[in-house]
Amino acid sequence: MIEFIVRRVLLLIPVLTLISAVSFGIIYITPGDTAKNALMSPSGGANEKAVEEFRIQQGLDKPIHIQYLTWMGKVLHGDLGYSYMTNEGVSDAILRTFGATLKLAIVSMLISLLIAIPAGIIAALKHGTIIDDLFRFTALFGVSMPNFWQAYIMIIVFALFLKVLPSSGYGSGDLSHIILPAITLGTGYAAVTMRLMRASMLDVLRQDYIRAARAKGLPEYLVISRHALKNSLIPVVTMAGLNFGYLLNGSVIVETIFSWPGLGKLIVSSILTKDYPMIQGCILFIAVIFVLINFAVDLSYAYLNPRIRYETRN
Amino acid sequence: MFENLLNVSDLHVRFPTDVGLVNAINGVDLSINSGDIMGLIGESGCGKSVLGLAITRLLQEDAIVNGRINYRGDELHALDKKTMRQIRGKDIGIILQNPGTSLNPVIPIGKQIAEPLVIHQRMKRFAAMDKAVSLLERVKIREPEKRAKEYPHQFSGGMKERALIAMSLANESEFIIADEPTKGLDVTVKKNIVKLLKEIANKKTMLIITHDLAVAEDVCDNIGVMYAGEIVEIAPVERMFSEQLHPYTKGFFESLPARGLKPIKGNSPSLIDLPEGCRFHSRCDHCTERCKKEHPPMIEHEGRHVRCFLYA
Repeated sequence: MIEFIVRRVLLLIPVLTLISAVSFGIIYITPGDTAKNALMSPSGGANEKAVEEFRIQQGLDKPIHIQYLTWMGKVLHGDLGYSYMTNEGVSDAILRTFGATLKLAIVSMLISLLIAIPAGIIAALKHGTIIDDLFRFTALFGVSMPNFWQAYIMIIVFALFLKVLPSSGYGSGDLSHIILPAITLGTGYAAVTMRLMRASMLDVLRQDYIRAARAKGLPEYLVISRHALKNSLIPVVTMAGLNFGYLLNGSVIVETIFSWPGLGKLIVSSILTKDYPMIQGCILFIAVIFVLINFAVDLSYAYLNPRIRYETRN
Repeated sequence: MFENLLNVSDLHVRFPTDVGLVNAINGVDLSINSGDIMGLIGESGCGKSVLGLAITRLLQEDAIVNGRINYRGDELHALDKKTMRQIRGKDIGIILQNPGTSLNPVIPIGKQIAEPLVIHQRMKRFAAMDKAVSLLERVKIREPEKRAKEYPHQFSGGMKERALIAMSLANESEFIIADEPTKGLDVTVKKNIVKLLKEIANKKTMLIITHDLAVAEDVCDNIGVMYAGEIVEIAPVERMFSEQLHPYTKGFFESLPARGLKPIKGNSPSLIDLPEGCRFHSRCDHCTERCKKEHPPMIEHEGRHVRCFLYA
């Protein structure tokens, strides 16, 4: 197991190096002069002298690879630079918004799993019946429904019409503000996860070892919970992990609609203002989070599937 | 020892499919006396595995089962699910085919063997694990304590088969159904499994389903031959091996590598659209007009039974 972890950690190094280069290089793919963009006034003009000064101050006059190495050096020391717009430290801004995103991600994830896993199991056990059809239709509906549309419908119903929940904002971080965005995100992921859970469970139920479990005289609930569940969860965990990665990176649309002060909203606003240090920092952060989540998924996968452990040992 | 332990009469099993009903078993009568080792042989698709699964009610849910299966006076197909569950793994031990896939890949072997003990004897987990270790020892797995903690992928094919056998022995069932216990094993491993089966068979009643004649000859007391979902011949093992009465049985014996590798002409009939008359008539060298029209009953011939008009 330790060897497995060490190998995976070592694999992270080239992946993260590549990601950092790409996220830095993004500036040079976007059109326009970085310094000029940063100092552009709302009317469109920029003071030439100020631009030159800014360019030198920010080291933008140096060759790309020097800029990258300087940036990387700082990043490795935990310094992601400062916002062109607000002068706030990029890492401070990320940490400030990530908390809100993390909270939303966890609640959304819980909602999606609490719906998807039981529903998927029930649909599989009742496959071919009206219950299965109903669950599948609901899931299809959930998958097809765009987030932004669902968000507005929920705001209209619960905030405007029933007046039971706030329409947007973070509030004091209380539960009532998180419910609508979390349900919007959670149900979307629940639909996809439920379909996978159903398919996976159906596949497992056809396996010989399920018949073997019945042959031992196990009652059906033990056949399902002890023999089928763990096996059928393997693909579901992989998918849920990836979904959690997406959630942690902030859902741009849902955070924007609900004015949720999360990472997604931060990215959108920094893109709109061409705040490059912020964009670079966010992309790097997101990538690192994503890679780490993948790593965690692999670890849980190894826990669920003893064959994985074995293969790395040889 | 002559008491009828299992009595199957006029058993039919059909599976609905997109292309029609598959008649997997068509009127099987079979009785097994207490202490008997009955071997069921026949080519792939003849229905022998389905018979084993039908007895234990482990067939897929949409299977249509008609007929009677009486075990020690109980009509198995009339029992409620709970009672049937209590018979499975306790009174009737089952060794399923495909050891590679019949063990759960994510549960340690010992735990899988301990399960029937916990379920049927309400044994505590630790006691059950100890018993599982001793069962592994009984099926001759070395270092049973260490092996009990391992997962199926860490076991070889032969060891998996042993583990399945250990599982079926857990509750000292008096009747054991073994479905292809030597399938896919190499010769030396097979030899050891046969030895093990013989040891077990010593004190039990067994139904051994196999297409391996050597195994059947070595372990069984009586042999039944199945063809196209019915039993075409039954005889004590020595008599079956010294002389085969049914033309299909003869052909089956001769088609095996050790006995000449002479294939039977033609193919098995479609189980969806069964032929009229004798099911073997289109492939038989002794076919008469009667064979084409009339389905032969089981005919007694010199103390053994055969489904062929040659002996009428």
